[in-house]
Amino acid sequence: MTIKKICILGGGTAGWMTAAGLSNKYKNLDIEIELVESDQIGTVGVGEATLPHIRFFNNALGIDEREFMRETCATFKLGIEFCDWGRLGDSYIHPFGDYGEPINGVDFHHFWLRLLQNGHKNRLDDYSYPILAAEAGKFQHPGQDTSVIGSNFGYAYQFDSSLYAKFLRKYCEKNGVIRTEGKAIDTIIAPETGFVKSVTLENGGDIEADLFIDCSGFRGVLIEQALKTGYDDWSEWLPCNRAVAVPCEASGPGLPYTRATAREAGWQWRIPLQHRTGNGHVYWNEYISDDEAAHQLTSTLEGPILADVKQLYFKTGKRRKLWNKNVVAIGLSGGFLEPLESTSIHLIQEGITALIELFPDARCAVSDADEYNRRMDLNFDRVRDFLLLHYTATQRDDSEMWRYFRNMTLPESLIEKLEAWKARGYLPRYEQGVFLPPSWVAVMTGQNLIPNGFDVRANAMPLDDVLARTDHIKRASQDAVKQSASHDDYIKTFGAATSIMPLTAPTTPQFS
Amino acid sequence: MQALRNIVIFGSGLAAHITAVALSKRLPENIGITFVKTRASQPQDIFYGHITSPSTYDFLLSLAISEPQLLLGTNTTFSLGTNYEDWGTNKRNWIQAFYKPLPIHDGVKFHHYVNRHEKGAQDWDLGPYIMSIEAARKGVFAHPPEGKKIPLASVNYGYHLDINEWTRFLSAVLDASRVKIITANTKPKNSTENSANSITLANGEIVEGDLFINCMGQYGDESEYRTRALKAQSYTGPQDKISDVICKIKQTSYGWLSETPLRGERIQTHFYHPKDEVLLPKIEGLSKKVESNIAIWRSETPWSGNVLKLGHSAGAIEPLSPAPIMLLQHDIERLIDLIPTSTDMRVEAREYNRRYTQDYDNAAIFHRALLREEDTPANHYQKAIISLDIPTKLQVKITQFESRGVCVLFDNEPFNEEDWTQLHLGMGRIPARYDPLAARIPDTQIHQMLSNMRAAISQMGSKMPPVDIYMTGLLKFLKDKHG
Repeated sequence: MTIKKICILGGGTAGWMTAAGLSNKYKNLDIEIELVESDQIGTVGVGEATLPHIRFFNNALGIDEREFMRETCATFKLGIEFCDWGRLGDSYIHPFGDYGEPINGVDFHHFWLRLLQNGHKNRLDDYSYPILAAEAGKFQHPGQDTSVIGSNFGYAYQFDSSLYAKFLRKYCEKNGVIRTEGKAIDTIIAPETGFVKSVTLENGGDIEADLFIDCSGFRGVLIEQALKTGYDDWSEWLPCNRAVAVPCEASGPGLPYTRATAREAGWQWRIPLQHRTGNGHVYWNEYISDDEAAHQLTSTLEGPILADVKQLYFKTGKRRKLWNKNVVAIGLSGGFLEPLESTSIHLIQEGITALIELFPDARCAVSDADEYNRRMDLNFDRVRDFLLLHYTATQRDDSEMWRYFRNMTLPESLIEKLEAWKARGYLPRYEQGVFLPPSWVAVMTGQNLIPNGFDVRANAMPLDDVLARTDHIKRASQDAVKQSASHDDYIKTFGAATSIMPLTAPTTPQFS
Repeated sequence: MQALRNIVIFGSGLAAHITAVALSKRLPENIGITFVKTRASQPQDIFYGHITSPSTYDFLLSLAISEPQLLLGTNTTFSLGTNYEDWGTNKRNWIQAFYKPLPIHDGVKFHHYVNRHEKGAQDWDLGPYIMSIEAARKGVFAHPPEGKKIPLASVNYGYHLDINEWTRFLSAVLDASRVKIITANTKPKNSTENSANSITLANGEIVEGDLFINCMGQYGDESEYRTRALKAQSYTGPQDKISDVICKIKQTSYGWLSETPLRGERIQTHFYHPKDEVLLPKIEGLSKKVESNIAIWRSETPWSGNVLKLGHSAGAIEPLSPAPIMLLQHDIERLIDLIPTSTDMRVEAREYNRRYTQDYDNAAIFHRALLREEDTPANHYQKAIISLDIPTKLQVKITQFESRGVCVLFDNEPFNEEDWTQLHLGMGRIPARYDPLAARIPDTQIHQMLSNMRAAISQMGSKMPPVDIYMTGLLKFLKDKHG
């Protein structure tokens, strides 16, 4: 009863990442993988910025970092800069890494809070190598000893997701994945099990499989159109429901971080790649028109735009079951959370990892689907709470959208987190889920939520000793930044520079 | 709101002493600590059992207590785990050992390869591949070396202990210049009281504080402890030399018994439902140490107002595993994480209670997994357990392991993947299939890999010294060094 055939429907980032992950694992096991995609159907390109976990995915595939970066025009990413979120004019960087280092087992930020209450005005950012390096436009790979300042951080990439899909397609085809050009027009359901038996293509072909991975994007051709799985609508908490996206010419040095700037009815992203800059404006159409959203985007770009403005429609939330019968939804077919923290590709990766660990036999046991759904639900829930934090930990009330968030009833889990933080700088810990306490510290302090108290153990050390320890960390972080190369130079000397010339605007672009 | 200035601990047993030492070592000097040592003995401490997990080593270090101090100050011995004997209707036997994760090959957990190698056998275990189990079977021990790639490096160890010895030892190391110690009887506070500015001692003295930590154990109105009753009788006998590095837990007609090797003595404890006392055999050749009752129960809100119930005051779990002392350590770590910043401690209490509930319930499902649904309850002890619903988390764990060998873990579990894997296999929950990725390595290669591992472990086991000889040499060395 082993799985003999897997059909992946859809070939965007999700489809090709899934095909790469599965073909790498199952290539010698007599399991055929066929990916169906249509050149007629565009891909959304859910995200171009990633989280550090993507490195584990690429490493598991045996991908060479330099080749990957050259092929996808990738840049390094040390974090995300958030502008205008706490208050208009504010900015902070959410880094990939801890602040400082624990002292006597107590998290560093408690000592920083103690200093703050004693009148010392250092930024928490001054104790973070990735933040200082990002601000200086510098980068270096972390060394082997990740406890050393200058090596105690993570990094990710900013890349062209359509090029990443192409890159992975080559990888998959080498692994024996069959790519079929075609558009699914019908689905045959086995009456006795309710399982998807086959998909019918427009050209008349039928593709049968034991397991189907739905990577068909928002349409959810199998998980929703065929199996009617249902969707949990999270618009109540994350109401932004549209986006406009457009690339523009890169300008100035390439920055090792993504930028997310809060707007009156949403937020705008800026993702610097080697050959261009990706831009987009996520918004709530209740409070801004599509034309105005596009205007706000195009009028604030750093360089000439390179293509037509692409319009996207979505509803935040997730499928009631990401695995239903013999269909697993990965990518946008499974759910959508706005890419404020670069989680779209990460959730694809989580889906692939969980599927490999719970890889079924041809019966697709309900217990396996239940466990997969439990894990993925937890991932989605925890990302949702973290995204919501950005909108609610704010002093902004200058537009209808911000006033909506001020009056919102938050999930109980988030309320408790906020109260514990405000009272004593404490963050509940959990092991499952992507955003660990340092990420919460970054957003809360970055958006001016400074706790009233701190862990009393931070008082166990004399103030002068605290000053000496923290100064040492600060100096070591600054020294490590001084020794780092500029981000652009590092990419070149590392051998990751793309041969694709920076894109330039050929003519005045047409808006659609 | 005022800053927290004074913490008052009251009780007389292990929980009270370990709390007093921990707070004295880890809190800043500006927080006063008063320890009201009640004169009453705490026989209920027998329910902490006689074994700790490997985490105790670091826990004690955080209290500035080193292993040499512990060994020189008590009759503690090393523990590699627990040998379950005659367990369940099928009379199963296995060693539940402490060890570091087994090697992962090609991204696949080790036990899947063993499953493949066993080719559908109805029963198998990981014993030949776990150094701790090999050492436990041979009664040998040596400290695992750091950073060396030899089988001994995979060993983890905890301790076998006598609770009274530990309590005495902690009392001796407690810094009287840091902690105000009052020895007096106090009237136990009613557990429904959740707010106090002071407690009154039997002699009329009033002790004031901002936070009161009740370590008195279970007392008073027993209707509060509305779930399972458990009784224990403990016996002791002389032991010339330490013969084992594991404790034994054996199922009996009335419940179960544990046997723990210590230096100079062996402790045997019988656990049963009070209604089955008549089934207890006559114990010969050993002298009775203590007898006590407890309810297997946990409070919904151990921290209420400014009163925190800690240790058995908040809940008890039977010592079928290292869970009782593990949970006590967690209680103290949790308290230290959440020492209030002011006299308004609502946030701290809520978070403490959330973590406590998660911790206790996760430990409890490990114990619940030690009974199979199809087991025929032979006594009131087993009937009481079987009458409880199987928690959903446990159902998920068992289903996933039995069907495909996946160990499901939830947030903040006190037992790790190695513990659960051994427990499932020990209970005869053999995975119906292995990870298909285990088939990527050819049979002959798996055979060779497993064969080499068994041989290396067996060889290492034969080179290790008997635990008694090792301990004697170690103590001599420590005495020479530390005086």
